[in-house]
Amino acid sequence: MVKKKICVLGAYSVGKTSLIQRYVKSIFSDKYHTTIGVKIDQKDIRLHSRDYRLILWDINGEDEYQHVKKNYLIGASGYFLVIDGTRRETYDVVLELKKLVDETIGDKPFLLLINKSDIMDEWEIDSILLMDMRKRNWDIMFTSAKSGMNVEEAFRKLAAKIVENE
Amino acid sequence: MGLETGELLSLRSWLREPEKFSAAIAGVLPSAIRQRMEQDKELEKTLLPLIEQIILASVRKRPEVMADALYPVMAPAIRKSISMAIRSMLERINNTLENTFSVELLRLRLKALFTGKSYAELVLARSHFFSVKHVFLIHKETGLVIQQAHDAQATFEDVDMMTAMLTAIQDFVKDVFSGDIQQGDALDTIKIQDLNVWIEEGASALLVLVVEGYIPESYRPEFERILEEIHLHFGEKLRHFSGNEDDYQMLVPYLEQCLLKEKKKKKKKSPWKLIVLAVILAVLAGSFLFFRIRENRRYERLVEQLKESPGVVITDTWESGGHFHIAGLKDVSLHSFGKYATAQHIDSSLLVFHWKPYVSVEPPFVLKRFRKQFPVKDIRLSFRQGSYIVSGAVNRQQYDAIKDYFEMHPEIEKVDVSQLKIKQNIDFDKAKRKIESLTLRYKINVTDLNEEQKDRLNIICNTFVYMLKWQKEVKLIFVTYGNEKQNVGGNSVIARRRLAEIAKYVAENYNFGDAVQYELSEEVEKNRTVFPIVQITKKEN
Repeated sequence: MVKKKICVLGAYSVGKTSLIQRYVKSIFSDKYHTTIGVKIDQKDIRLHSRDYRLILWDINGEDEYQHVKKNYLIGASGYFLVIDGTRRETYDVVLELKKLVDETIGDKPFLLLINKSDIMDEWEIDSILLMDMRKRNWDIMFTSAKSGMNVEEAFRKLAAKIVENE
Repeated sequence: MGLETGELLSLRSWLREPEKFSAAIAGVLPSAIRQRMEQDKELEKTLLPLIEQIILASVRKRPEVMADALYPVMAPAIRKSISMAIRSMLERINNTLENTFSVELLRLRLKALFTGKSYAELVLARSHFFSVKHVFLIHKETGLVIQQAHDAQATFEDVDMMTAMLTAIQDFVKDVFSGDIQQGDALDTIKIQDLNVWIEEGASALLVLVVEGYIPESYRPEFERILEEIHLHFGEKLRHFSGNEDDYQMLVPYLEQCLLKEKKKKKKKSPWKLIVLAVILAVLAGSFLFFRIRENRRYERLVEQLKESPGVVITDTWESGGHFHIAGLKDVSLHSFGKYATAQHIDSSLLVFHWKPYVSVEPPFVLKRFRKQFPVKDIRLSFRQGSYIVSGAVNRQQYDAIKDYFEMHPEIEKVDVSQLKIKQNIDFDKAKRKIESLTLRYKINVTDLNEEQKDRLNIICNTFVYMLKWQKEVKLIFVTYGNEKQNVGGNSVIARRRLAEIAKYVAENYNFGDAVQYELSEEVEKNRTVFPIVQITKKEN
């Protein structure tokens, strides 16, 4: 069993917790988010005939009142950046977070998850913005915590990128 | 050859001129050392003794240089060690105070009450001073478990999530208290009820120990040493943690060294407690023995007293169920022995008698029974020089009754009745005179009894009946006489007829048998008269 630390980052209320809650093993309550700013969950997957344990650091959303603690990022093998398709400003937060991560742990495998893909008609993310993302050469996945769309795949894809990176 | 002459000359000059050659080597030496270090451990092996010798020589020659060099390292270490020693000492003092007043034991009692666990179970759990249940070596950056060790009973699930959270909490604490804590300090102890979590921080890894019970601070340096040793040998490997525990199996023996367990040392019992206990026990035992012996003496005296008592034969004594039992024979005339028990200050309710009744032949009982049988003042029985002496004046009947009594009680031996006198009966003589005064007179040639004569005869007979009750050896004789001056023969016939008539009447009305006799006397005395005469036939003793 190979263990990897994965961080889950994004603005507040983008659905980070909801996104992973249904698909992971959790023993801690959500209150840790508001107290120490992080909640730890676990996801076991099998990839290329090998077992992996992803320790997910669900880090509290970045906003004007609460900043992501750099220490929580250290040691991560990869990370998810999560935005809310219905809130354009969450992309701006992700850009800030990406910069913070790069400064703290350097270039590490990551995936950009555009959540709430089940209600695309309410999206504020338009094609221009998507183009901007593509230009950055980021891996993007459209997910829905509500329907479970691409959630499992996202874990597998990030794990694969991490293994590939080593 | 590829080398030109100029180059060969230059090489020769390096070899011949050491300074030049050294300068050339110095240029490549750092690179060469680094490359060799990466290649294998040979250089380390070669240089280590040399460096050690150099350090040793330096310390001997100029110790102040080494002291100055080590000061930045040693000073904080010494400071930390001293503070730890003081902390450890304070803990020991607290622990001693707590245990002396048994607050800990009271706490365990309350805990047992509220948790539902048995007191014995909790005491057993506390019988170990401490026990390191689980040891984790955690990668500092990722919070992932590098390797772990635990004792046989301890099992933890989801350790990776827990250790990750632990490192997150530690980071959080560092951030929150960043202004108050010194560089290098961090959360080092977490206490959850009886569980203590100790965290030792190394450069790349944390050593986390889950300890059950109280662990003295004095153990911390030992764990620090183990962590340092791990870093010394595997520092590089720890820095680049692969995420795979299997690659770090070689760390298990180090972690197993941390699974310490110390049994609670038996506290030295305070001698004064033992002395007080011993004195109390001695007093209790002494009191018990004293009362026991006194009670036994009382019982013994009671038994002795009973044995000496007439009419009592003790056959057995024993104790059972807090009662004292006495078995034996008791004269039928005896009743309670309560006065004996009272005299000996014995609670009579604790006495149980098992008596069989019997008749004692001891003189007091013989005398007592005799008095009961003959409650007459004139009859006395005494015991003198081994013989019973009956004395007094009795009538014939009483005399006979006394004799019968002793005949029926052969167990009463040596009876002397010589002093028992039959007293003269005045009534007897009176009756005799009365009978003899009642003569029966007849007219000439009359032989039948007239009414007056019959009345007289009845008085005579009834009185004689009474006399017979007093004295059996007595006879009533009716005597009459013939007239010799005239017709003697004829008179005798009449006299006989008269006696026959009397005999007939007496026989018809009384049952005297041979006690009444009739005689015709030859002696001339008085004519036409029958004389009733009472005659005692046997002389009294």
